[in-house]
Amino acid sequence: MAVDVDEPRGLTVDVVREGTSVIAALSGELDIATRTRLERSLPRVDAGDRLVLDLRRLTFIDSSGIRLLMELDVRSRADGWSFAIVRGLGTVQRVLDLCSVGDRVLCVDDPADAL
Amino acid sequence: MRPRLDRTLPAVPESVTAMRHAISEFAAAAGATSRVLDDVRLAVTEAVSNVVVHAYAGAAEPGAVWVAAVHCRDDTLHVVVSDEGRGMVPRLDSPGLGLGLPLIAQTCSTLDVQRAAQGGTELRMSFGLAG
Repeated sequence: MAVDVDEPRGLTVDVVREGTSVIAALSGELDIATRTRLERSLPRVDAGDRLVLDLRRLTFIDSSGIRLLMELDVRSRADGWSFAIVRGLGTVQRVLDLCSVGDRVLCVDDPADAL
Repeated sequence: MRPRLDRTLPAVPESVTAMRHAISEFAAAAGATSRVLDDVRLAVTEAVSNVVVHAYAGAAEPGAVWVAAVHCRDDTLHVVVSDEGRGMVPRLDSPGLGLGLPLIAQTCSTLDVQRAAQGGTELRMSFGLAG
């Protein structure tokens, strides 16, 4: 499933479900204008499931995007599902590092490492 | 005449993206390195987002956000993000994580926050274009 948000320089979310795991690959820019649409694009995740956000094709993230990642982490802990991030590249990973996201959320280099 | 950018948009989320793309094109044309370009994009995004979220909170209509930039002879990019909102006031219901200003401070060479002459807040940043 692909959801286009404000193309050409917006955000695309490709969601794949494999058993109890949901992998959402993000492409483009995640900011205050696109985060709500991303949230709406994510499928329901139940207790025991796993959500993996793949940030390798994300080209921009700001504190609004970081807040969404933190909210997903809080929700996963409260509702009994697991949450992991596939590390981004360049400036995206730099922002995640500046905000110490890895101290809170499981970060891996490949989606398979989170499954 | 030094190259200048001067843009005013309504303080809505879509304007954050538009201002980021505008400053990105301006900084790239000024010769910013890839790393500096990333810094400028992030800092201006955070500054404009602050205006969208805080400056006109409680107002019936969003006011304006203004982004101005100039490329100076010393190869420095000066950027001003300002609004005509309520200024910096304590907000117990803040929807943010408080990461905006720290990220700006991490990415620019100098940072100054003032009460704008027209009311509201004026955030001044500079970036060394050579990195």
